[in-house]
Amino acid sequence: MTSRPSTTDDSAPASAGASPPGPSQTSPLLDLVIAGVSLAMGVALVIHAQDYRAMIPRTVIGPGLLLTICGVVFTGLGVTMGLGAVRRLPVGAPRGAAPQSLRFALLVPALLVAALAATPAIGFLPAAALSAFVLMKACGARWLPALGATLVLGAAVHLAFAEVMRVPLPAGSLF
Amino acid sequence: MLDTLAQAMALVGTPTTLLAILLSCAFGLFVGAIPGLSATMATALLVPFTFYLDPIPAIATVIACTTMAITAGDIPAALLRIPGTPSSAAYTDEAHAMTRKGGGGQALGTLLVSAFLGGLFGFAVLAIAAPALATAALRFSSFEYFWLAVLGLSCCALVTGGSLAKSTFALFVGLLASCVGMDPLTGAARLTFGSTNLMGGLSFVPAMIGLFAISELMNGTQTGATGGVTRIRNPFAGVGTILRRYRVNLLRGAGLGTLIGALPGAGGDLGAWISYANARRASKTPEKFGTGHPEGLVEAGATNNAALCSAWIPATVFGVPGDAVTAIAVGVLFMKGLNPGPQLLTENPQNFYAVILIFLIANLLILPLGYLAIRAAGLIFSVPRAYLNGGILLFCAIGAFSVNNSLFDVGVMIGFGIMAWIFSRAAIPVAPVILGLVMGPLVERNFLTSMIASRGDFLGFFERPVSATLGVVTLLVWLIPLARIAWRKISATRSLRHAEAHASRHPETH
Repeated sequence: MTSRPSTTDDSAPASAGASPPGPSQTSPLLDLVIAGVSLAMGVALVIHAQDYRAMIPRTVIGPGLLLTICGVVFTGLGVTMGLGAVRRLPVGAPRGAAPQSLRFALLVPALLVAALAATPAIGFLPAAALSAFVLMKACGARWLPALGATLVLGAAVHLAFAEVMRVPLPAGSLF
Repeated sequence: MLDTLAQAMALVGTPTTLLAILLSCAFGLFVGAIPGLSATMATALLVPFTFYLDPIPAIATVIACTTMAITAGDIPAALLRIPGTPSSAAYTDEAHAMTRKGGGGQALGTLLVSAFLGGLFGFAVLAIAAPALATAALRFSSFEYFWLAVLGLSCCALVTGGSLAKSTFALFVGLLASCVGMDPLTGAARLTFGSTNLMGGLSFVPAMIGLFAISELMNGTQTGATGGVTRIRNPFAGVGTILRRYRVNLLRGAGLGTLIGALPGAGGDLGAWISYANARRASKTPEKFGTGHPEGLVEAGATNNAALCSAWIPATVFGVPGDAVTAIAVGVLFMKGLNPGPQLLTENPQNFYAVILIFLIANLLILPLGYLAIRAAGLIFSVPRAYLNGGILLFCAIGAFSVNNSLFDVGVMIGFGIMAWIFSRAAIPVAPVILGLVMGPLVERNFLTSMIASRGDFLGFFERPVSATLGVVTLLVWLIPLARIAWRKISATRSLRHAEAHASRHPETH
């Protein structure tokens, strides 16, 4: 089944930058989810913005103004993008990332979170270097070169940041 | 005048000053080319060294380092899709697309030479028209600044391509992120959820690293890319032809950059975004933008350095910094007793001309040092992707931390990285997010100040001639594409009806 050009493609052709899919290739289901998030966020923001007092009485001028504007725009965009996605739903099949590649993509933030979690024990630089090593391995690097590269990179980063620039990299309880 | 110039040359021509310029250039190149380290960070790191230098060598280190770091920021932008500065983020995707097509050297060469020529243009303006331009810029009020910022944001949303709704969504995500922390006028805490880490707002450098570098890593690992080898032989090959073809873009970019840079408070970052948008709008082949087309690079590259030079007009003549870097420089000027302000021109004009001569030298050094840096950076691509990914992850983590020495910023980077990855799945551009985040406080502060001044009357934004002009231009920037979309839809409906009517009148032919 071929997918129809997106009805939300309402301006210039898509850039062929680094973003993997073009607008017409995106999953309408994902577009619908983003539209839903936009709508929910918009409504929540408009409600939340009412908590801030206006600087000039009987006007909306105050800390809540930009939040209100953002809320209104998000609500409008949610409706617009949602309608566009709904129109494509019966035609375009949901196209998510393949489970394996999704696991690879999630590995990067997972490694960074793991580095943050390991920092109190082994220090930030060793933890980040360890994450870099795991990423190298996950991308197919061999054990020994990956280990060597990690050590060289770790030493270079330590020299540049900790020694030359005097950045106080957090130490751990073990190192 | 000639005596003053001779005195300025004598001040700059000392071995200490020349050595300071050369070493600062090398330092700026090094820091600017490292993903995650910004020109502002490079300049800030040099300030302690200026304590030990005389006034002119001290200010020379700041100027030379900034000029070179901003130019070097294009290297990771083109090769790794990690912009070194907010201004290079405007054309990161374009330059990276050229690299993917095998034209990484040409992209960098084009940016380098455009920056050099734009810088020379900015230098000439700085030397000749500094006082007049600064006076004009000082007449700008919050009304004009508001429209200027909104114009920049609008250009950014409209230039990124793809769905207008999605670009606008990305822009407002950035604006919303800029709301986090204390309100610029009243100090009310917004969207902090009780976290003290969020009280100071979201730092844009970790956000920028997350949006561009982490998402790229996630996309790279996902596609299992192993990284092709791209040799960068001669970055200047073919650049002459490109510059001749796009000479109008070059001049327009340099002129626009000079004008925007001269506005105190606007900073040079805005220039590249407006310039890139302008290049696309004026182009005969706008469909090529985003696919690795050098036209936008020429214009935005020239804007970058021209704005960098002219940003010193308000900084030196009136002591009003244009951006973070010039704010640091103004601090150094005060520290060294060079007190920026009208007296810099009236009492010690040789110091003012020494400052602009330093610009000239730093600009001249862009070409040879930039050439060497680009050749060396080409080696990045001879490293297998697995090791490069590991290195980038490490630099991103440490770079995000080092901005405020805060692990919380690493979390911010992760959050923005995941968001950018989801955005890339949904074809939502990420560039507007970063500009929204950077420009959000400027827009809000000027909007609220103007609204208070006009007692809540929005017509006040159209009462001053320059403000009204900028306002009308901004509205047109939004209305023209919307009208075009509406017209396209009406035309499509008409054609469909016409075809149906034709089919019903002549059923035998179908």
